[in-house]
Amino acid sequence: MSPKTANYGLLLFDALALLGFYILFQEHFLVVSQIDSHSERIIFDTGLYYLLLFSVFPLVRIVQMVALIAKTKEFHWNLDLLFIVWFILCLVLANAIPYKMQKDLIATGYQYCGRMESYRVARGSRNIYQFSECK
Amino acid sequence: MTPKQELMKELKANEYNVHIIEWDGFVKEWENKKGIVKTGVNYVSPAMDSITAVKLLRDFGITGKLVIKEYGGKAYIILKGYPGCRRIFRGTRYLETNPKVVRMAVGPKGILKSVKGGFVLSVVLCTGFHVFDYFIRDEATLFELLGRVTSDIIKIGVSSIAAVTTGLFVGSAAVIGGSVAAPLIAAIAVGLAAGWILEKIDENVGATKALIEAYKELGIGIDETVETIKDIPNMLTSEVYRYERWLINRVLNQNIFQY
Repeated sequence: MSPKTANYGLLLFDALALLGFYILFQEHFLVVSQIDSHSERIIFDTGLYYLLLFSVFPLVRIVQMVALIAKTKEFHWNLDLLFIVWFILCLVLANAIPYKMQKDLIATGYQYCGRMESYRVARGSRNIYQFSECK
Repeated sequence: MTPKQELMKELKANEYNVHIIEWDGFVKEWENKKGIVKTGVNYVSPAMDSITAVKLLRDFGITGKLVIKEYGGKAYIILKGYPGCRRIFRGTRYLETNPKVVRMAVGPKGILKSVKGGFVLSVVLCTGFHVFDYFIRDEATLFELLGRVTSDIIKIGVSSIAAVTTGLFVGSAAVIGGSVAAPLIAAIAVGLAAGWILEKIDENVGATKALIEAYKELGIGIDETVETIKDIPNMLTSEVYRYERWLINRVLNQNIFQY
C-alpha cells in the first residue's frame, strides 16, 4: 500500500476517532450531570472509556505532520516513544476512569444494584446504580 | 514408621475430595459470575496481541524501525538497528513470509495472521461461552443461542477487519509506518474500541433480536417442512388408493355397459 493511500485510510479513522470522542464526552458528562442532580437511577458503562484508544489516530496524524516538518532523527525517536506511551496511557485511563467514577458514585450515596445484560464482544459492563434502595 | 502412621499415610494417599453442589446453586453462581467470565473471554485475544507487542518492543526497543522493500519480486522486511542487541530477530533482512516474522506480527502478513488468529480464538471462546450458557439455563432457547452466536461472529469479524485495515494503514503510513510495533498497537487499539461501537449499534438497531426472531421463523418453516415430508407417504398412499378406486369403477362401468 502506498503512503498516500494509507494517508486517506487514516483520514477515515480520524473521522471515526472524532465521532468516538463525541460519544465519549457526551456519555461521560451525562453521567456526571446525573450524579450532580442526584438522579434516582444511573446506568454507568465501564466499557465506554475504551473509545479513548481512538485518540492514537489523531496522534499518528500529528506525528506525521511534525516529523515531516522537523526531519531530525532525535525527533523521530521521541515521536515513536510518544506514540507508545500515549497508547499505554489511554489503556490505563480506560480502566482507571471507570474505577474512579464508580468510587465517586458510591461516595455520593449511590448503591450498586447489579449489572445489565453484559456485553458479548466489547469490554466492560453496564452497571446499575440507585440513589435509594435497589429495586 | 508405626502401623498407625502407615495406615494414615495409605488413607491420605487414597483421599479424594468430592464437592457436591446443588444444581440451582450452581446455576445461580453461574448467573452471578457470567459477566466476569465473559469479560475474561473478551480480553484473551487483545491480551495475547499485547504480549506479542511487548515482545517486539523488548527485542527492538521503542524506536525499532523496519523498511519493506522488494528484491527479485519478493517482499523483504529490512530491520534497522543492531542485530546483535536483539534476541528474536538476529538477522537484518527477512522474507515477508518468514515464519518468525509472521509469528511476531511484523509486516502486513504478520498483522493479518495475528488478527486472523485472534478472530478464530475469540469465535471459539465466544461460542463455547454461549453453548455452555445454553446448557446451563433452562429458559435458554436454541434460537437464542443461534442468534447470539451469529451476531457475535459478525461483530468479531467486523472488528477484526477494522483492526487489520488499521494495522495496514499505519504500517504503510509515511513516518510512523517505519515503527515495528506501531501497526500492531494501532490494530489492538481499534480492536478494543470497535467492539464497544458494534455493541452500541447492535443495541440501537436490534440486530441480535432480529436474528433470533428470524431463526424462530425459520424454525417454524423447518417444522412445517418436516411435517409435510413426514406426510408424503400418507398422501401417496391415499392418492394411489383413489386412483385404484377410480380404475376399478371405470372397469366395472365398462363391463356393465358391455352386458
